[in-house]
Amino acid sequence: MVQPQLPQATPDDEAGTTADLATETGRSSRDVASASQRRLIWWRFRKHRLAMVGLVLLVAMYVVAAFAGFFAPFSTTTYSGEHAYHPPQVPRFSLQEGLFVHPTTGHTDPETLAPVFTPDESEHVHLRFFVHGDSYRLLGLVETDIHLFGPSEPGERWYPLGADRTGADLLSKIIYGSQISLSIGLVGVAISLLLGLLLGGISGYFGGTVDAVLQRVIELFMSIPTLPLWLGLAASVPPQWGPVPTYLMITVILSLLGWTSLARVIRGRLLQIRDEDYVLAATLDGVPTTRIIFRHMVPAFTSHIIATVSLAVPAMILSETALSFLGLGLRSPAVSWGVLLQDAQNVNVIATAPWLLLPGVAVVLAVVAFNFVGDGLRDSADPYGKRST
Amino acid sequence: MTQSPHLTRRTLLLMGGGAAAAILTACSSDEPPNPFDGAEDALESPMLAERVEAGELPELGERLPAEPKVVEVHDGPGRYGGTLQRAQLDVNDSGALTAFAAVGLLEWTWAADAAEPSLAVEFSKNDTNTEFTFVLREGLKWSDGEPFTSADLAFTVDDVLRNPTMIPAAPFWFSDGDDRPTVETPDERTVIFRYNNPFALFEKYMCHPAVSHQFLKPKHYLEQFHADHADPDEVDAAAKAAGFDSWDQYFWDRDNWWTNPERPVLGAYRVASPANAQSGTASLERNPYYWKVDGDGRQLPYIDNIQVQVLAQDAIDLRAANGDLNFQGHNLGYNSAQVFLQNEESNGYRMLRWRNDATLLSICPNLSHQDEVLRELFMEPDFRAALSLAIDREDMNTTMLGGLGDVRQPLATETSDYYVEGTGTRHLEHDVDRANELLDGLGLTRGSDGRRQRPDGAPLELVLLYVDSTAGVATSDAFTMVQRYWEEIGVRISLRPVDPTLYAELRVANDFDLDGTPMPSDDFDMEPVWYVPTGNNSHFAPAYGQWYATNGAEGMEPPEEIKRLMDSWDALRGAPNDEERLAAGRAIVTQHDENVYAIGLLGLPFQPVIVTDDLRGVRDDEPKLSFYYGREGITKPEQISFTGS
Repeated sequence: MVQPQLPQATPDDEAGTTADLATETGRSSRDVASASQRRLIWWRFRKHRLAMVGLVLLVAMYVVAAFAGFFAPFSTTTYSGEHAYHPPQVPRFSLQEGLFVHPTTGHTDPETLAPVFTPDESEHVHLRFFVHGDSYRLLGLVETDIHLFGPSEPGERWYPLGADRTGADLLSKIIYGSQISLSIGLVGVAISLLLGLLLGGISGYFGGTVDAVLQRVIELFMSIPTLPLWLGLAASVPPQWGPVPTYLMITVILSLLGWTSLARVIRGRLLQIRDEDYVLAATLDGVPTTRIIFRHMVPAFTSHIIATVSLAVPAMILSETALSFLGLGLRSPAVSWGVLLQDAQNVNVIATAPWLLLPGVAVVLAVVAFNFVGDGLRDSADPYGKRST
Repeated sequence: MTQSPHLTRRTLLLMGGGAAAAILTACSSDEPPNPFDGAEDALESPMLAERVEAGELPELGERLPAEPKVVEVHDGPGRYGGTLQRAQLDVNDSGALTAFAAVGLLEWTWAADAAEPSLAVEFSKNDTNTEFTFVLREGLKWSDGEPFTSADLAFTVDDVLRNPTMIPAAPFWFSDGDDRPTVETPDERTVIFRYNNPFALFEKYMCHPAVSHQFLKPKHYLEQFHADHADPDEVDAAAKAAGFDSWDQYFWDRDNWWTNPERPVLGAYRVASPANAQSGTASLERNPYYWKVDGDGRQLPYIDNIQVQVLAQDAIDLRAANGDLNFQGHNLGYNSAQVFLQNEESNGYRMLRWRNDATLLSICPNLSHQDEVLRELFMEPDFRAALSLAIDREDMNTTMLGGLGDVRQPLATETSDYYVEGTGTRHLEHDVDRANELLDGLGLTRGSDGRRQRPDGAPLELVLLYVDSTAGVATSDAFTMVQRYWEEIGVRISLRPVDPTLYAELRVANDFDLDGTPMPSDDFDMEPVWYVPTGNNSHFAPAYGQWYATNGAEGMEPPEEIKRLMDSWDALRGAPNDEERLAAGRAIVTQHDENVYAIGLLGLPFQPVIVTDDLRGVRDDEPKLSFYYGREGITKPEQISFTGS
């Protein structure tokens, strides 16, 4: 088979041999020699420990996001005003009661203005699996009120990670927030990636006039100043739209403009690879153009694309609220990690309710998981290449 | 000017004090200079004494007027010196000057319920509130040493306030409704303002620190920028050179006491270097010619300098909680009050709880809406009643203010002269059934999705316009809750937070459905925009306001009901005496109470004010922190001082 090669490779870090790969993945040389590219990538990926951890974490996060209503003890709209800024409640265990917390009543101390919560020791909020609570639509289809874990009686309150400033459960908000944070940003990245690949690919492969025209178009797009563009968008989005559709719209529009730098890079790589011997060989063998591009050329820079994408995803999550000052970004009552973090950015929270910074942990986990998986994919996308670490 | 023997003695004393200070400084020259140097009985700040010694300033006796205004010092005589640290949100906000360097012909008394002489030593008015006579103190001087006389007032009124080029439409604070005043200056110290119609509020406006200073413009400095006084071509050329389109814009720029350090002032402090985008910090310096003294004849203010940093809300709260701000109430976030209290002892300040001018976060439906259907709907008392009844104020109060908040309708409270017994409680109860009944009665049927339809069949969707702010009751949180409550009665609103400039523009353009605004309700006569549509800046009926301001030429003719409100306002402003003024004001309150033109939500229980422990003279009787009384200025800041230990 034709092996993609890194063009810059110097003799010192020459691509690994079949034997190296066999040793690393614990397979026989014959297996390695006869396995498909996809299988080789998977074998190698599985050996990347951090990447596997990241993958498991990501899968778990997406499962939780998809079934948010089931995993979250409450919906995002139920709140209890008297429990605003309630600190996290650790469940306790006793043989008679099982897992439980004491219900609390809250009031504000008029002298110190601090919220005071008095637990009622004689009462118990029993925490059970598969309890009935707030109703939700599972996957947007099935109306149900079963929650994985929570207070056994509907209407009872429990704050595993504390309450926010309206007295809503923070854990539920983090779980629901993952739906937006782990999806909408990806839409933008995907659109940028598709357009960049397609247009960059065409430009690089065909060269000549096509290339010249496309490059001028890219320069035109790149020269559009962003701030006036946002201002224009801010004025044109109807105020009746909720924050989520507005943000989705803006993301799509911005990614329609944001593909240009990726397209440039891909064109450059393609121009370089186009003149490699193995491409020439394939051409002389009469291989169709699409197959040359996707079978022989794209694998040579898959690692670069993966690295770009795995860096773009965290940037999207973190920039959710960046446009809020124009009324374009996500904002309450939409629930996302960015919104939760932005709400937590004030003196009062940091001084008196630090648990409201916990959505930051979720962001860090997701970002690290994406980067690990991206890292592993980049290494394995070129199974014969050397490990980067 | 002849000096009285008394003043000469003071000057002698002062020179003695100055010499003693000089000797002390000489003895300990290796120690860092103590900002509180100078003997306790010095009659002026050491900072000024030095300049007198260097020959840069005339002696104190020549700087003070013949009869300085004596200020009663709240905490006993203070020491000179120190720099007061403050902060603010907006770089263009001149609130620091109206609070700490307020100036007017009259000023509020300590109790802030009546006028007392200030720059004017005598004040009288005729029986019909049409003629107001002021006699200025003798020997008053601007901060550059030039005399302040009745000519400055004549210049201000004749050449600026009455000049149609500079002010095309007279604002409510100096017009009697039809005409601007004329001024007569029989001698250097006497000024007589005359109005054609009675103007009952004139005396109050002359005390209002944000208005009173606008009558006091330095003729000797500003006439070089005025086309009627200097060569018009030169004035125009200077304006062009400074980047302005016309000379009057340049005049206003030069007249701005917050941004132009060259403009002479009469207040306790002058701006030494203005805040701008580069520095972000304004520094204020004492006015050597300030005309107030304490009971011992020592020139005020005690504090030499004020520094004002421009910061974001969180940064201000953080600095206050660190004890870095010496005296701050304005722009301080209520939501950080808990943090302020926690750090009081460790960071050396105390948090006072001042009253807040009965400000209540409210929602004003646009009664002069461009859309006829919505306009008629908003004018229905039942519709507004239903909106009010659907709001669960108890829940809002518990959630947002821990149950400590102020729940009522936005009307003058017991602390106002205009209060009417029994008002302010209409439609406060949470009654969704009744609200639904009222809406059904108006023929607003519910569609299949539970949302109501307008009488013309279109879905009822309203946009709530507001400025996002967390300083007081957090607006976005409050309106999100309202959105949820109104969903229950089938009224769908979407929130539109905008920046303050756009907010003002949209209001003036009559381009909004609902306006979410804090309403200061006690002193509505000083700024009627929330209660009576007197101009296109009205919060609840800009087009009617436009009609009123242009005498029917522009805008939209209001229905009889609103005209009645305008008549009451005319009666209030034109009242020949206080009884009639109060009666007219109470009629406005009663009409608002009966009709609930604005739907009240929630008010803060108090306004936190930070005072560091080394500051004295700040009153502790919980006064109002109100724009109309100069905010922190209500404690007469010229008499506060650092303990210096």
